[in-house]
Amino acid sequence: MTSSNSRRDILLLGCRVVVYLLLVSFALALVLVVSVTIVGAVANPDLAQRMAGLNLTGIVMIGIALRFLWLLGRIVDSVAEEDPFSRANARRLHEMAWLALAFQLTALLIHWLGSDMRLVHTRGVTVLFSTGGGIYVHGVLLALVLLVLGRVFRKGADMRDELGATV
Amino acid sequence: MAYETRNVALFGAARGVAFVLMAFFALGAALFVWIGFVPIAYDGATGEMSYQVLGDNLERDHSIATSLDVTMLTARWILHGLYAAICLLAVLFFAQIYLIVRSAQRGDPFISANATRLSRMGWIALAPVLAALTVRLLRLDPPDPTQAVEMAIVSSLGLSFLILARVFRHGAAMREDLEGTV
Repeated sequence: MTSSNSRRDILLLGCRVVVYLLLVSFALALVLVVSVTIVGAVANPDLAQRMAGLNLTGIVMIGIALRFLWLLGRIVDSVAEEDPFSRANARRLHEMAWLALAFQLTALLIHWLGSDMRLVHTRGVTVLFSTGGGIYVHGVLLALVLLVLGRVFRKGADMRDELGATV
Repeated sequence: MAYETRNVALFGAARGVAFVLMAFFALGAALFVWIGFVPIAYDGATGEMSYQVLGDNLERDHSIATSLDVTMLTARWILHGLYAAICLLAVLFFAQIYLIVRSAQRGDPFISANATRLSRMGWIALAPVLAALTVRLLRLDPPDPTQAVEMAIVSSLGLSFLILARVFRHGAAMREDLEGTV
């Protein structure tokens, strides 16, 4: 039992470390994009105006990622407290599913906005932009799986309540 | 089973997408095996290689192929074998999703088989990260922040699956308790 517990602790610790690492990286990315937007608006208003859509979508995407990771961290916390089958977790998974879908939509938006910004001429200089984005099948699958897991956890919460009633 | 109709659509969609991805990667694996192993015939005596199966399409690459040496050919086999293996791992991964969703559709997801499937998924997701990390360490590559974030995203996915496996084992035990009390 102790060995399985300590193994679980390593697993939970690993997951927490990775989740917090990602939270910090995305927070840094947020700071970076916001400051680039502000500096850009001052230094080169012409370019900044054309970049506004991309930057704004980027900020929204990072926001979605941060919220997603935050919810994932909370679920990991609930597992550490040995109470994973709660309605709160079912709600979190449900929200994560919608966040994953929203992320797909913003990625599509990035693809759109980026596609007519391949080459930007500004102040006599031509800048080549490279943007990713588009729709990903595995991202859609992630959203669907999260929705399914949300239902599964709700069922788990019902089961736990039943157990609580019988004991 | 009091499963609502909206579950039917959701589970069906999830199964469908998982199936499409399975088929996609299975085709990918077949393709990599095909282009990696089948088309080139290597003549050990002359050291020449020719595309015999793909035929005319690749005929113009013939001159390039003949200039390749055996090492290149071996590297090509290893590379395509690796790609095919990765595709097969992806098929295995999506097959687990398919089976888990199917078990939820049939009414009871809390079975120990699902816990095993989830931990299998976790290890499949972690394997490439661990492999890449080992290679980086062996080659003493300097840290690459972009790759680190990518690795962290994939490993958080893998670790989440491993944790979900524990949760499902817990759920399966709870289900057995419930059946014991009824």
